[in-house]
Amino acid sequence: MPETRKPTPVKAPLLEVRDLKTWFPIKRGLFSITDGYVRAVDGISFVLDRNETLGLVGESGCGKTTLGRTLLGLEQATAGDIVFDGVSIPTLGRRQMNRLRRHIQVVFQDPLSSLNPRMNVMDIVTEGLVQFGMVEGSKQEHAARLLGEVGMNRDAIYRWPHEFSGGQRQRISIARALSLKPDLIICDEAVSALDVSVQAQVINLFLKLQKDHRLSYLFISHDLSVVSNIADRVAVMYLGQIVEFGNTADIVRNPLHPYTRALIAAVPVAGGKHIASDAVRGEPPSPASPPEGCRFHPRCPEVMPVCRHTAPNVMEKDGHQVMCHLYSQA
Amino acid sequence: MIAPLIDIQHLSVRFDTDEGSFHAVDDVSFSIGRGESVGLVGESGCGKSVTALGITRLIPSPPGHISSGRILFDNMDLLLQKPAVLRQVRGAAISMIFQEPLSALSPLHRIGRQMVEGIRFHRDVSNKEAWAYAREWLSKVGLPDAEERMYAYPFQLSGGMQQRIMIAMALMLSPSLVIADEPTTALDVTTQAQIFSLIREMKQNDTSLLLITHDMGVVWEMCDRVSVMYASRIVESGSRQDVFNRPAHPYTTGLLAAIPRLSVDKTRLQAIPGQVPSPFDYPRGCHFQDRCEHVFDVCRENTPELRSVGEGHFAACFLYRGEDARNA
Repeated sequence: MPETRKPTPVKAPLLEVRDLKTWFPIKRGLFSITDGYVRAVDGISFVLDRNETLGLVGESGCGKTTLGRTLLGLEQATAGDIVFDGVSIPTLGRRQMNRLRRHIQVVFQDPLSSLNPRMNVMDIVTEGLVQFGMVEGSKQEHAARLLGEVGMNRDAIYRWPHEFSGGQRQRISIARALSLKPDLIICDEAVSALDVSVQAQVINLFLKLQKDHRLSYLFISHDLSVVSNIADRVAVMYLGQIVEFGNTADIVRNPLHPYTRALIAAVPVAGGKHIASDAVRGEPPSPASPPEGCRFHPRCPEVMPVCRHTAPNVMEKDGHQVMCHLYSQA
Repeated sequence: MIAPLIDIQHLSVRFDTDEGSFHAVDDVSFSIGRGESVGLVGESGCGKSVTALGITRLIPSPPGHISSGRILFDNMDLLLQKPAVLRQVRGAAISMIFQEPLSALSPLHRIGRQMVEGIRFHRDVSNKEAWAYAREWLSKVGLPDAEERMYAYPFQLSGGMQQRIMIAMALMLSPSLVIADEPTTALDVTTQAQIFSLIREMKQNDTSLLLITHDMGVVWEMCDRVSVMYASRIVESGSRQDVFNRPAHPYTTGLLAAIPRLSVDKTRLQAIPGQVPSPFDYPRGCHFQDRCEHVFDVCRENTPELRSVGEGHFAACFLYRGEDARNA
C-alpha cells in the first residue's frame, strides 16, 4: 500500500517533549474549591527519534502512565509543549488531533479490558482502518495480513477476544496498533501482565516489528530488566520528574542517581546475589505534596543537607543526565 | 528421617464447570520440613494457588473439589477433618498471606478490630490484651504510629502498609506454617525488597513457609527448596541451587532462560515457543510435549513420573529415563 505522508527532514526528532506538566486539581468542599494539585507529570523534557525506543521506568504513582496519556491527548497538558513530527499537539483542535491519532498508537497492559468483547478479531484490528477510510479490498485480507504480522493464524479473524490467552490477546492489541501504520507506539506496561515464557515472545515481537516498520516506541514499565532488553535509551521517573536519562548501556552499567541504583539493587535476580535488606527505605510520598528540595531525599541513602531544601537541577555526567546534588560540586 | 511438618501426597483437585471438567491440580506431592521455606513456582493457571487453597481446604465448592490425595499436617489428615477443626487450624497453625491485601482485609472494619477478632478467635484473652498485642505487632512489622493505624481503614493505607498488616496478622499467632500466595506481586520492587526482609526477620526459626509465586527471582531470594509446576503437575523439584543451576526439566530450563535480565543492549529473549494448553484439553502424556524441543513418542503416550536425577532433585521427564523407557 502506498505511504501517502510526506517524509519529514531526516534530522528532526519524531517527538519532542518540553517541560511538560500535567497536574490534576484536588477539589474540596461544597463549591469544589481547588485545594492544591496532584503533580502527576511535573516538568518533563525528552526527545525521541525515529526508529528509537525510549524506556520509561518508575514505580506506581510516579506519573509514567499520565505522561503516556498526555502524549496521546487523553489528558490535557497543564503546561509545556509536545511536538510530534513538527506539529505542536497542545495547540491542535479536536479534528486535527483526531487526524494525528493515526500516527500515535497505544498498547495497554490489560488486553481484555482494551479489546471490545462484542467485536470479533477482524473488526477489532480493522476498526481504525474503517474509521480513517483506509480499507482497500476486503477487511478479511487486511485482518489476516495484520494477524500474520503478529504471528497469529488467519482463522482467528472470526473469533472473540475472550477465546484467547493473555499473550494472544496482547498480539491482537498490537495488530490493531499496527493497522494504521503509526510512527510511534506507546506501550504502557504492555508485557507486565504476561507470564515469563509468553512475555519473552511478545518482547521479541516488538523488536521484530520495530525492524520491519521503523517504529518508535515509548515503552513504559515498572520493570527495568524488561526495559533494558528493548530500549535504546532509558528515562527513570520518580514523583513526576525524570531523575536520570541516558543510553541503556550507561544506565545499566553505571547508574548515577541513588534512586536508579536502588531500583536495580531491589530486583531479585534468579541465581544472582541476594538483595541487601537496606536496598531502599520508606515508601514514595504522595505526588500531591512532594517533599521539599530533592523529592527523593527522605528515602535517599546518600542524602546531604542541601538535598533537604534545594531541588537539584539536571546535570550532565558520564554521558547521562541526572538530577542529583551528588554530581553538582564537581 | 524426621517427619515433615506437612506432607502433601498425590493431591488432585477437579473443577466441574458448565464448559466441562478439568483437573486444576493433578497428582501433586511435596512436603515441607519444620522451619523450611519451599517455593511453588509456575505460570498463571498452572494450579499453584489451587494447591495452596487445597491445603487450607478453601477451594470454592462447587465447582471445585479435592478428588484424591492426603494432606498430613502434624500427623493429622486435613482432608478428613470437620469444618470446626479446620477453623481452629486456619489462622493459627496455618496462616495465609494473599496477593491483594485490599481484598483480604475487610473494607468496613478498622485494622485494630480485624486484628483483635483474629486474636480472640484463637486465644482466650480480653479485648484489651488483644488490642495491645495487635498494636505491638504493627510496630514489629515496621508501621510507624501503630496506635493511630489501629483506627485506620484499609483503603487509607498504601499497598506496602496493607501488606505489612497482612504479615502481622499472619504471623502474630505463631503459626507453624505460613502460606504466602504472591505476597509481593502487587507491590513496587523497592517495597517488595522491604517485605522480603520483613518476612525473613519475622518468621521464627521453626516456622515453615510455602511461597507461591510466578517469579523465579523471588524464589531464589526466599526459598530453600522449590517445586516447579506446569499445567497442573509438578515437573521438577529440588534444592534451590540444583533447580536454578542444574535445571533438569526442559520447562524449567526454558523458564529460566526466558527471564529478562538487565541488559546493556537490545537482545532477543529466549522465549518458550507456543502457549500453555487449555486445562480443558491437556494432551495425553506429558503436558509440556507441544512446547518441548526434546519430545519423544513416549511423551505423547505416557505421563512421566517424578524420578530422581540427583540427590534430592527430581524431574518428571523421559529425558532421564534411558532408551528402554522411551521406546517402551
